[in-house]
Amino acid sequence: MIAQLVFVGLTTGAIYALIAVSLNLIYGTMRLLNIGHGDMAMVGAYISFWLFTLADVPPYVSFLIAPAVSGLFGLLLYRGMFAGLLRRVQGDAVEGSSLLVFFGISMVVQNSASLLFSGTPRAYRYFDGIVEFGGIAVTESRLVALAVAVVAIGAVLAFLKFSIWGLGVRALIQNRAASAIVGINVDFAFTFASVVGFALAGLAGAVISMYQAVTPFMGGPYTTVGFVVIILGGLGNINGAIIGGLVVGLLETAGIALTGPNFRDLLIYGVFIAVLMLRPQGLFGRKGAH
Amino acid sequence: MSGHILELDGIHAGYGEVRVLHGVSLKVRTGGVTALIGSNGAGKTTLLRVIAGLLPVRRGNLVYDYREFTDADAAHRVEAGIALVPEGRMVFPDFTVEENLLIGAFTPRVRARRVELAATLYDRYPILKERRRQLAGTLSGGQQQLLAIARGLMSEPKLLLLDEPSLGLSPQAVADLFRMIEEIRATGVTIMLVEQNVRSTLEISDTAFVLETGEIALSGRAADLLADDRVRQAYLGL
Amino acid sequence: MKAPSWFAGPIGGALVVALLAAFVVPGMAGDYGIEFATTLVLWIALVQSWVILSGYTGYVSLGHAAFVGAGAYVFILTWGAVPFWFGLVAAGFTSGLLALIVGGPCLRVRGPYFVILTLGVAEFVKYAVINIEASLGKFGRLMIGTPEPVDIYRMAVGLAAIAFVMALVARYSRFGVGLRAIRENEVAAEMTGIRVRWLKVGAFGLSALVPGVVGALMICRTGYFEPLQMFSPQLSLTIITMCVAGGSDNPWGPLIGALFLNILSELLWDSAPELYTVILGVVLVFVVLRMPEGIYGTAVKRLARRSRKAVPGETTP
Repeated sequence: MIAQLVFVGLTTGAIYALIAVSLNLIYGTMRLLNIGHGDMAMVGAYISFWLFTLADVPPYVSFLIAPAVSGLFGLLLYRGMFAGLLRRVQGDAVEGSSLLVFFGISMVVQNSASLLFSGTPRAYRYFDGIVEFGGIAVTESRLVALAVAVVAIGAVLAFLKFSIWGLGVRALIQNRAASAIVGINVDFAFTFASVVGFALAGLAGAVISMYQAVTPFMGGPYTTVGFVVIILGGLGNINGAIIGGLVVGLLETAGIALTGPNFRDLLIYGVFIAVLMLRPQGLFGRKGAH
Repeated sequence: MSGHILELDGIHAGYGEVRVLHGVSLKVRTGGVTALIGSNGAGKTTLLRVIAGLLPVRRGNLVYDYREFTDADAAHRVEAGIALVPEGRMVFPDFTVEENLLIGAFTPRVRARRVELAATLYDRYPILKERRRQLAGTLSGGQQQLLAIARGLMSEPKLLLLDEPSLGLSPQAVADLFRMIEEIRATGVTIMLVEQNVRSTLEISDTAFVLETGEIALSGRAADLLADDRVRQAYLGL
Repeated sequence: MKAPSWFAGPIGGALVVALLAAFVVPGMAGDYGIEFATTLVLWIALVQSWVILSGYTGYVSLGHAAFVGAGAYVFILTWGAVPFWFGLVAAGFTSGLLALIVGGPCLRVRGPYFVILTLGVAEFVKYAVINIEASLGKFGRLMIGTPEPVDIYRMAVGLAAIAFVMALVARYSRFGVGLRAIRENEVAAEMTGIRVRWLKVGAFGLSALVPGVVGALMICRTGYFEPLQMFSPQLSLTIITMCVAGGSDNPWGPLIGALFLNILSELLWDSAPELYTVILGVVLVFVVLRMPEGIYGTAVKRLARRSRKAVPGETTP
């Protein structure tokens, strides 16, 4: 029973971590608060659903197509809007303005999806067998979700740790001026962060679509959880986002098991508020690091 | 060695509505140390930021190594051999000493040789080797300054811009710093040095410029300026 | 305390407009017109209350939904037990009190942290109310004997007038100077002796009074209380959109923003609610990227530039 819960918590947490890592990549480098992040996951989920339903494309192929589309979306948004915004405004104004712009984008994306596909929840069946091992029973789709999240997050971590460009991205998260001084092409790095950040959100959506119904407004809760997680882990802290994602996933699962689904949101927001009020730099952040 | 590595002609620059530099013209000789002195707010840091490409030139011309660089971005200038060690050091606090060095060789010209470049600097500055696994944010001020300069050297610059390197250092650390500057100069790197510490600076410099309210007020051989009455009165308190 | 004379004009004007709106409009407009006018006036009340904290200090709050919802909840709990007016006042003060309580800790964090924290607090309050209601076995509450639409409309007009005057006084008084100093540079404001903490918490409390009453009036209109609807984060975001579209450094901008978006909503909502929201999104993106001072702020700047050009001999840099 406990093992089962831990496993469910880990799969949920791994997807949260994936969303939070990509959100943090965008926030950490550019200081853009992307409250449309969950909507990118929604776009990925629809891509996966329609490809499967209309063209029999299996989801594992969509795991490549969905991020390509959402990554392109990230590229266009950065080039079309945020490159200019970041050149014009600085400091806290970036965060405020980006929040509003992304809110606008979120409204457009959600309601366009609703216009195009209606609000009807849609689902398909794939990887829906049950796997049992060591007293744990899980659906294949959850197992695949966990595997994809682990691989994607692992790839991001390896890139950040071992590649000189990864080092550059981590430098940019710490100090933009110093990064320019050592010769990092900041504009290129921003473009890169936008593409990768959006692509990972699309990937997360394609994965989620295997076990959750797809609707135009499914992204909101993921955006909220994403922000809860990156606040827990510290804004801009990639490792913190991974640990925070797992913590929230486990907490949510344990909370539902102990008190019933009604208290899930109360629990998440309660922890979130407590952390923000007591340790605004996040559980793993250093004081004054921001 | 002769010739000029850097030529500024009528440079205007500023921040938003605030205009800081009003037509700065100067030539920096290749090799040796060129000092830039002046009171607070005269525009010294602004001028270094303009040379490093962090702040756009509004009017005027910047020629580096006999090539037009007025509109080049910061990354291109690092690639061409300009390195800035900024005021306040700006090491990456969450990086280890080693990561700080490696990121200093980000520019393509030296990127592939970054590990051997770091090894050379470890030999020159053993304290960095000792602390290579330590987070830069936990180093002392003097060590952070050493690291910031070493990071600048990782890109194998021809022109090294040092902005107030002695700020906030202990007298012992300042003495070490000036010795380090002379060593770097001996390797053939041209150094442009901005300092509050006017006497020590002029003593190790070859040429000097005095910047006042965004314009060059005085220039000449450092030894001559050290003897100049105006400089003695305004900056040496004599 | 006597209001300084330069308040008298706008306040008198607001009073006249409010009286006209309250007593002339109902005679001219039909049921549909009154419904539209009520919606508009309630939004005006909300945006005016929001600017007191968020417009003037720059602390962008996503917490307004919590104050609307809390007011509505208190109102429905006291419905029938206390006189109507008492319920309205209780709704307002409960929200104000809630803001004072959460304001202390919330306003210690800044920038994005504050934005996200207020959203978190609002959602927390929402789920708390949902859980309380669920444990009581209630899933929505009905109200019987709510006032006539015209009376609700007149109360809404009065409320909007009060909100406007509050925003106006807050903007042009010493209190407002302090608030705007916080926006420009909080540390500097504190060093010049402005009691930053008190001002922020005070402004938060003040800005929460009106939405509490709005919540009460909103459920009077529908005769129904449902937590998911009353605490919707969409409400907070719409307020921000209106304020940003108009410009949020003074009471006039949000007024224009509310007018603009309500008319747009009226034109599109019934036939194509999704299209309305898409357009709302486009407007928001456009305003933030192209007119960061909002419709009103940009217009004022343009006019000022034109009149300056008219002065002979003066050149613009």
